[in-house]
Amino acid sequence: MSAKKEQSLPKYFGLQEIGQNITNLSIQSHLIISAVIRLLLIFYAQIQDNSSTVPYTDIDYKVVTDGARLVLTGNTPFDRHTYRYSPILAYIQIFNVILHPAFGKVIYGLFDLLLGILIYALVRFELRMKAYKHSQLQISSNNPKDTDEETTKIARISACFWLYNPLTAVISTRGNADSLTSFFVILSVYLLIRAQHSNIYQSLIALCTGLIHGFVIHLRLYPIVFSLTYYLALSTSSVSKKPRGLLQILFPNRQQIYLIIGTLIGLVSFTSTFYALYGWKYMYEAFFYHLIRKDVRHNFSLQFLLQYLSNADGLGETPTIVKFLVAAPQLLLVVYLSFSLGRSRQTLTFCVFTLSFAMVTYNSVVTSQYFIWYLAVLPVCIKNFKHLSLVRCALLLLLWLCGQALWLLPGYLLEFKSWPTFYWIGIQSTTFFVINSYILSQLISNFHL
Amino acid sequence: MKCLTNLTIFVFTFIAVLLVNIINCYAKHQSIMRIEMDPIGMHRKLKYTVEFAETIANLNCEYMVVQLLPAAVYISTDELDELQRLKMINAQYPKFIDVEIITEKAKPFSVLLRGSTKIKEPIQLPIHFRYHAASLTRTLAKVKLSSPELYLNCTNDDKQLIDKALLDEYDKFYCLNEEATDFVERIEMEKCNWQRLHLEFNIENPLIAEIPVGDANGYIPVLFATLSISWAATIWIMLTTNKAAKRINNQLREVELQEAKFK
Repeated sequence: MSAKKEQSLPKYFGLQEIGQNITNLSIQSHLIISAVIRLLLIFYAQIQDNSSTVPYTDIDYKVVTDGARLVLTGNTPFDRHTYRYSPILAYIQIFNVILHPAFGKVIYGLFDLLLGILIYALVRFELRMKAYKHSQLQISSNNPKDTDEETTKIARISACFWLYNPLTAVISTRGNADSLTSFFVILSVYLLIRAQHSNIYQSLIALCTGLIHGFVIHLRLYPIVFSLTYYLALSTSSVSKKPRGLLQILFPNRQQIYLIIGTLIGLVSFTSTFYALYGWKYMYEAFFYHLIRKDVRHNFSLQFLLQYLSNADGLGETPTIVKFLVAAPQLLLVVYLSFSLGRSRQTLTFCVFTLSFAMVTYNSVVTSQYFIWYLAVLPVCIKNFKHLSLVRCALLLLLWLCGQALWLLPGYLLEFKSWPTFYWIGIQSTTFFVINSYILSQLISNFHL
Repeated sequence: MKCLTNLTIFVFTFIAVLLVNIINCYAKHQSIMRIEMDPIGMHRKLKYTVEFAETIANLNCEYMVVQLLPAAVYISTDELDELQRLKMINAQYPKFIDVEIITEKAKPFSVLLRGSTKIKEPIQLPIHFRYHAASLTRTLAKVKLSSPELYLNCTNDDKQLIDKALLDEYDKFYCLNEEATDFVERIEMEKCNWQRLHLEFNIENPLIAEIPVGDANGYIPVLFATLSISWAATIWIMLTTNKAAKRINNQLREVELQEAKFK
């Protein structure tokens, strides 16, 4: 028995050593490895697409490339049916037509890496500022060199959570532009946090943040839910003072005004330019379609079964009050989270994460692709879950994965075996919703500054 | 009398044998299309195998299978584009098919599958079934696919060699309407060379798919359950995290106060 133990020990330590070596690699090395992984995936995509009837590349990537082809010939990308994005994506993918079909994937992969760099920079900055404050307040007695090393290590691990996440690597190399949106969301947060520690350019940074925020809303609608927390984070009314009322909290200061102006300029300039170029069809396809979209096919949403059944003959149009009651919890949670967690820049990243998580969980249509909205922000927050044990983290992850796996079974039976599993899918969607609500509650409860 | 009876039996047998031979001969000379459809699922394949009559099989002709698809069925144009690129299918189909709408809001359309009489390989068309609107009365919908039509277009020399009996109406010619993905009868002076072929179908299992339909009787309970769960979860999240939010804000307050002290 002891001999066996002795034999297995070196093996265990060998693995641990490898693990140590990997975590000790520099961020540059991680970026190079991640770039190679992405390039290999792009190369593999070419092979699979050319030989298999099940392509690796996302269908939306092909739609955008078709849009780019139309742009090149002087037409509108919206002539390509199902083109429902900002024309900017078609402009980016023009090089797919001119240079190589995989060009867009390289760009999206590059944004994956840039996002990794940004996560690294943001976490390091936040931890350094925290360490600096602690040293100022003489709370910590740690050696500054040790603290810096520790900070860099945590920042590196956070970046690795993004860079080595198989889901995100596959999504961007399939040609999905979500990493582009996530990059600009994190950039906005980064600028807001930097603005707090800048003495002279605070208003300018707030304006730039607004411009980026407006631009990213133009790209994808969903970052609009971060607007309130961005606004509140710039508030000068301190959390230590008891506010006299909502008006005092919401009354704009100079930075907040710059943020609003920047957001409006960013959103309106891009949107109006494309409206002038492509007309009403652009507005409908890129914005209104996403608001009125009613996809009754099976998906993870709690509202799936309700939406499907509401199409029944003789039921008529759903009353406005019912529509409101269905949509209100999501809105309520967005407002609650923004006010309870978004009033300080020290909790801003976590607030953005909880907002993304809540929005996806409560959305009327939920597919795996939406998970990237919060998976991009999660690495920035992991440093704040130090009170959550590794086992508990693993259990939460397992619960999240189980929720999806349990949902997949009735989905498969309906789609591939023609079983009438609508109610079963409804129950599994509800289970997944409850699991997500529990995870959200656990993460908030275990968040520490 | 007995002789007369024997003669009658002989004549009768002779006529019967002759008839069977004629039928056999007719069958041999008819073009036969075998159609198979995957038995289950919302995503299936239609497989067409055309066995042309001997006189046509040796000719240099192209053909088009016209498959009318009911509103309950859709094709993915992107999927077919891919198959065309991989040269696994040669088809014509509408430019845009809405894949998200339910059967009750969709319309039927046709798909044209192009082939050559010289190539014996079957043609496979991937099709998908739409969801039906939930119903108060049924939990299953039967979707029936109609038999396709086959049109032939041969070179002028070969056209003369086609046995007229093999065509539906030998003097009728059709034009290919690419936009409508269908054929229309030739109007005067137009050069349309497509002719409709008479087909015998060999369909082992009827082209009927049973598609599950949700029970709409559950709408009200589902509505209440959805509202209750989403509201309960929201309130529960707010209550359970309220303490944590307060703790976080208290921590922030402490930090702020300490900072203020040192300033």
